Amino acid sequence: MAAASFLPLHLPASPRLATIARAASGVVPAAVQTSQLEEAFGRKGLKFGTDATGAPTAELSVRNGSSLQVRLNDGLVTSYRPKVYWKDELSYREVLHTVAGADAVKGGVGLVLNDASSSSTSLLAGSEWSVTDADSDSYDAVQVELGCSAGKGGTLEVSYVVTLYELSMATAVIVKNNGSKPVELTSAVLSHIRFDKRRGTAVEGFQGCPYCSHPPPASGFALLTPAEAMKREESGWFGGGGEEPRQGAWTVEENLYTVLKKKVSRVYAAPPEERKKRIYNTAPSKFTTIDQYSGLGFRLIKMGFEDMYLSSPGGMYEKFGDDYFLCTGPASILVPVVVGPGEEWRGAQVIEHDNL
Amino acid sequence: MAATLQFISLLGTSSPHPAPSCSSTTTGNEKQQLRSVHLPRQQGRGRRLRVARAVETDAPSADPEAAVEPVEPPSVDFAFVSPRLLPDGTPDVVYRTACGGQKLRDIMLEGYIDLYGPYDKPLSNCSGGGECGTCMVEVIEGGEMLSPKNEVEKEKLRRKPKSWRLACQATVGKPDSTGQMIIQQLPEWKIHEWEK
Repeated sequence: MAAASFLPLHLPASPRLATIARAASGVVPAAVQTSQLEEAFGRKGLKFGTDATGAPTAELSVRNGSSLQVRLNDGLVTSYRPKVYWKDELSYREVLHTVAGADAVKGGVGLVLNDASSSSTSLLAGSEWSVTDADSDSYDAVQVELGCSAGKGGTLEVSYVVTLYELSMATAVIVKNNGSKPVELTSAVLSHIRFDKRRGTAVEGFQGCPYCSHPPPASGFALLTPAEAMKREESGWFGGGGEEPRQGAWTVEENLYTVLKKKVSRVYAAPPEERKKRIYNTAPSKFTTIDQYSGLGFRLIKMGFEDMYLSSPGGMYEKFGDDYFLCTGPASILVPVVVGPGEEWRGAQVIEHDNL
Repeated sequence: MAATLQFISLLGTSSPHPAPSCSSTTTGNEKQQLRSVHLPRQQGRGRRLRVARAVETDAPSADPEAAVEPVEPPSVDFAFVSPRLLPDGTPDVVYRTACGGQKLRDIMLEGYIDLYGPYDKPLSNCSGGGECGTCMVEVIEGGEMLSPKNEVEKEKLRRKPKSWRLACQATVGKPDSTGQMIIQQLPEWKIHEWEK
């Protein structure tokens, strides 16, 4: 696999572009907003438009045909279609699972950033995201950066960078604390990955890693709420419902492949008690999804986060469309991250594949 | 041939990096200078270095002058480095700790570290017999703790760099050894270089 050219991440935002972007995020009709964004940031591989519900979106595409769509008002990646080699031909496959809700699309890949100290209220609720920068090398990589101010009084500056490469896509979050008090965050990048059939869904890479049953962090875009995710499924024909550990109890994953037919909601990580020791067994930084029916696998890589969240809807998937899906991604939810005044915290997730 | 390495752990004080790297690597040049990997200092030498900021909120602060740390049994710390770097160019490291006196292969397999790579399938390797030569690892630091190369290793590794060892033949110290080792997994597949 060729290493794609990496773009410098934090490009200095040119003042002229930034003001146009901020002006556009006021109460401006979507069509005008789109054309302003197009003028300011549009380039080869990056187009601005609106989706079916009228929300402004950016569409990123690279030379080999892979494309990605991200909704601009909250940074939700609603579509990722890489080019893959499937059934003996090159085609594009939608990796992410989304559901058209009452007023907005849910699912996809989204960022969760909650305040750990005040009962997990979302730091991003009510914040206005605006496009602060864009970059591309015109062939194989395109990047768009969204920024917003979050937290009480707008003391946190959050940047969310979505990048599309030939064989992967990356989402990175940078949180800078401009206030005078430290802030405790729990954060996650949750992705809803689509699979063909429930029976052939598994992940590989967690063998030997401890896990515990844990609800996902609350978010606006997730298909399953934390309560729904934790509800135990009734045991099926073979009485297999009792295998999940109780919340808070840690067990170690023994299997090479974690089959995800049943409903689970787990966090794979080194237990917080272990992390206090001088040296502890660290958790793996990546895992691969396996879809037996399509034969395609995608690798999820976590950087900067401590835990990996993994959940499958089990029988509940039927409420959300025909395809089975997993809600998974890197997270820092067991132990909150403390960002002191003037400090910065970064985390990223990369979804990559070798299906070519 | 002790490699001098200054390391900043991915889990440590430096902020972890998001996906694309800030340093512009020349495209097409896959050999990159490796950034650093830290191991926490062993007991008795003061504050732990791998300060995951997250843990400090509820743990009592580790004051270097303060009292006695509980005595832990002697063990050897390992940092295993994967042959592929993370997408932002930093090394993909996992940490383990184990008692000395065992073969390196046993320590790696118990810790679910990828030792054999593509030869992991049943019957693709000799399972520790010293015949197939697929369990090669490169010892970056701490090589003095390993037993000297035996004849089997010398034969299999004749054309390889001197820092490479066969994990199934190398024993890590004695049961009461302490120390730290940095091991590069699957050195034939690595795309980075270690600074000397």
